[in-house]
Amino acid sequence: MPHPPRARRPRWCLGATAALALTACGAGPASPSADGPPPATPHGYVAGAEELPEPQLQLAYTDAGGSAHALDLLTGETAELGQLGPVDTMATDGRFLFTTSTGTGELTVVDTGTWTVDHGDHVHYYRAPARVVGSMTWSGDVEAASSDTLTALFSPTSGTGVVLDRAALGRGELTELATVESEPHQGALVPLGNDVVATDGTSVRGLDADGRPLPDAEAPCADPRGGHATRVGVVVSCADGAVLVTEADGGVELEQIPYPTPVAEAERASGLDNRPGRPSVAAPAGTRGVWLLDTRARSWQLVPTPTPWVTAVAADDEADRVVGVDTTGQVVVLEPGTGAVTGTGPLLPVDRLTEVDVHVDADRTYVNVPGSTDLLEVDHADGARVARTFSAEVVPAHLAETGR
Amino acid sequence: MSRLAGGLVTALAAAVVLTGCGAGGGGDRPLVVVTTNILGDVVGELVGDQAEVLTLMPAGADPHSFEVSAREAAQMREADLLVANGLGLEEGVLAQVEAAREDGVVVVEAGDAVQTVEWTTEDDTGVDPHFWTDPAQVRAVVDSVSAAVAEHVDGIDGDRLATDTVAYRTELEDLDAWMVEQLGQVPEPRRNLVTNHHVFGYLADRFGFTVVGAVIPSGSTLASPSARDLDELAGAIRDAGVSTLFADSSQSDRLVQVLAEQAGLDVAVVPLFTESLTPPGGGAETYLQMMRANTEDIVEGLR
Repeated sequence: MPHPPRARRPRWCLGATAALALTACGAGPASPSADGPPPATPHGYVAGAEELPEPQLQLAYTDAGGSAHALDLLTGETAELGQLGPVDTMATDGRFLFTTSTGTGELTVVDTGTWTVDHGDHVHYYRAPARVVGSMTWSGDVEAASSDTLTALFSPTSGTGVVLDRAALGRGELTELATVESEPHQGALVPLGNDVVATDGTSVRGLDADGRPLPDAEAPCADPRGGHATRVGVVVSCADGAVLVTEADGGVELEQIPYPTPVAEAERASGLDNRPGRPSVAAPAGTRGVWLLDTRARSWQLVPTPTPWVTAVAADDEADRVVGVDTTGQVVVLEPGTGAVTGTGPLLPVDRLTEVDVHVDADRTYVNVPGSTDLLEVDHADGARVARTFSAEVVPAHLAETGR
Repeated sequence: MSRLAGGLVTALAAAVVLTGCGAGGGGDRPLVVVTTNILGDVVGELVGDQAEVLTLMPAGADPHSFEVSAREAAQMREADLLVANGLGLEEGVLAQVEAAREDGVVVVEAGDAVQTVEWTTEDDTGVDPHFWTDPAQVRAVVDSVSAAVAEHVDGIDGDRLATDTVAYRTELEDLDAWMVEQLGQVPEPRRNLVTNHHVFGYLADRFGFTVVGAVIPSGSTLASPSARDLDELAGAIRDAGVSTLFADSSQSDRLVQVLAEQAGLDVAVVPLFTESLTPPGGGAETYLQMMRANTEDIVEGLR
């Protein structure tokens, strides 16, 4: 009875817009003639970009020497992204890689060529050729985040942030829209629609894309510890809780989400992280367990864990799972409703756990194994089962998941 | 299929575009610019060769994200009439549509003639812009566009326009009646579209179907799946009581196999045409052809 599946609808091809320009054909009152100069490259044209029916997930990694590769999670095939030179830190926004080198004083941008656009009721998935976009002067580490229109980079080391035009990045151009200066601190610069959320050592502020302060868009935030985008807005970790910034009519709104009780310095939520596009974020709570912040409900929850966690990422799925790495070197999965924790068993070197990058998508979690070429795919909804183990071309010092 | 198909689309799109210029060849005809290719086909049926119809969205493209060249943007501002889908569909050309409007170009938005339905998700709602999955809505749009052409485009023979409008309207009525008859063959308990396509809200609303939004396990999941990966989808299929999943998946064969192995389900995976006409030979060269192809697939899959 099952007839063969018909994939008869052709793949969408954005490249076709190039052909479209030929339609001019001398028809309109003042349109150029068909034998005029060749049409200019259409705005937004991306050579070969295709729209595809599912996320084009890739694992992008580089060793410390900057030998960068991308592993296609659909086919298992690997392609070289480029030789980037020395890499100290790497960040991603789900499409681009941003690597920094203290030695060269530069930040390099790589387009991995796969990304997702969320339209609210549905999502579009794209693939274009990967390429090295270019480099810019940079000091220190980097944190990166993007909205549809903006990309923001922040150096906790220098306190300087840069806002880039994301559409231009997609075209292979580094177009700086604004520079945001503050003192060195563990802050954040995160796009929120067409605005950005910035921190200094004592406050959170909403800025426009040119870096100008938005009216009534400032809230106190003692000693920030990073910020992160959620489905709801942008959240920043502060000494007494969090500041949530949301888009409001013509600007942004800031609100405080205090911790339920005062929290000791060592147990603060630092490095809030989640599966992209979800409302909840998570972070380790010192040695006590895991912080879970639901930015939709505006509530914190501290969930105790049997072992201390080094990293925590909110998968925020039907069981509100949190995925992380614990001090015994396991990939661990917590179900906050029951407190149940499952683990892979020790697979990671316990003396190098801060070098483990954890990336969570709707179905799987990916981690690198420091010192090894192994890249692990963990099914976090199925008892932390290791679904696949990939062998990388080089020993990954930094890992990113793109296409989501 | 498919990696080849992308290039094919480009080549065919170029071909179709060039042939589109051949007929008439008159540089003096009025210019009607249309954003989406579904509306482009409809408008072409109404004005025939009385006007040059410039469709901005290429065959096989995505109406939400296609963009236009500077040259096309200039043509939009010189159009005698600009026809857009509206309802937030063509995000990529919104600025150019507004620029044309500010230049005094008459813009007719199809969405203004539509009795809209809403989509809702976990945390958001909005107006569904994909009205064309219900031909009755398209009839209303035809009336509205035809009236706008008659009123705003100089040099159009009103009698011919009226005749052509009635003729196309009749074709839409035939399509509508045929869809009622065809879709009526699907037993009521099985009138469920388990799908990852997001455009069938109007069709479902009109013909008494329910859209069951399905998340298709990704290719990365299908490589080493667990039963849990398929729980949600298998549950949706079972609850819907159907044996066809209307979905785009690059790994349909693998999905069918995995659903059989892990969930004991015998299902077919069938893609439908959604937001774009195809190049010649693609199966949905015109709006009418697209609707008939989808209807046939839905009936065959659920009967």
